[in-house]
Amino acid sequence: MSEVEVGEDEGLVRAVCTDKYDKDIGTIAPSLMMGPDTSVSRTKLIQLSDHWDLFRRCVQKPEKERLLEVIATIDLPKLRKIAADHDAVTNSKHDIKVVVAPNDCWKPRDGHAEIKGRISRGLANKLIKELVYHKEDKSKWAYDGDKLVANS
Amino acid sequence: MSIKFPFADPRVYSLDDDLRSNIDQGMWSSTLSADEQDLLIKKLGDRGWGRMLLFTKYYTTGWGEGNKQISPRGQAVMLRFLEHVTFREGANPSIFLTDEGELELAWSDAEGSPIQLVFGPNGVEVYHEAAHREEVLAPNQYSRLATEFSNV
Repeated sequence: MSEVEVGEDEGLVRAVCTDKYDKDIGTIAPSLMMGPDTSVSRTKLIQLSDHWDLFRRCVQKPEKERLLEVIATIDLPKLRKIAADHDAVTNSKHDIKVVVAPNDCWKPRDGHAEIKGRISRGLANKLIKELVYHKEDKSKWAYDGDKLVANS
Repeated sequence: MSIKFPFADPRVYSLDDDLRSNIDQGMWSSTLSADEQDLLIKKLGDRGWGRMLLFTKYYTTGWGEGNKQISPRGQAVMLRFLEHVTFREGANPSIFLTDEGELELAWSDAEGSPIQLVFGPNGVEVYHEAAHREEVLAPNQYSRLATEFSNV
């Protein structure tokens, strides 16, 4: 079966759990976005606010030790632009391809997608500073490279 | 005639009852000896030690969305690195677990530029943004790495 790419303007959501977020000091791991085949969710099919329940049900394993801490979002055009800018400076090549990856835990199944392949650590370090981080109280945060800071 | 040494029991760390009750006893036991836990506390502080305990005790194969258990070889190399390295004062490194089961050590240099060392089964991924350095070294290079990144 051929791969179906998500729409060009779609918004993507990434769960940020204990393993990639050092909550006590607010550090985010670049490996959050490195893959291989980074799991994301699609706001076109699932509202952002519904992702708290979805991620707790589908990715919070082990249940009491891998906790969903924040939710990160980015839209595909922005993701492509950051990658292209990075490639231009570093003489590297990232072919950003986001494909629908049906998952039975997602409702609907097609709400799940993957950023295919691996992203370099250099690009991942840039990406984590461009994501918008959402806490459950609906506050928005940015990552300054050291910690999450509240968006004004 | 036998002599009794005036030592108490060997150092043994124990988990809180509520954490202990979450362990699937048939799946995994910590591979961290008391000496190794001492080393983690000394080099990564209580926070890093606690996160390592979580990763080694609870993140069994398939954690999250089917991710890999911690790499024993990666863990061994990171512990050797920690034996040799002296972090600069205030470095406050964070430890993360990648989806591939690698241990990701992250901190910033004195100028705030990110440094990341990723310890996996096949080598150590080295990233230092300010030095434009992104490469993979053989696991036996831990001593050299420790010298290079001490007090940085």
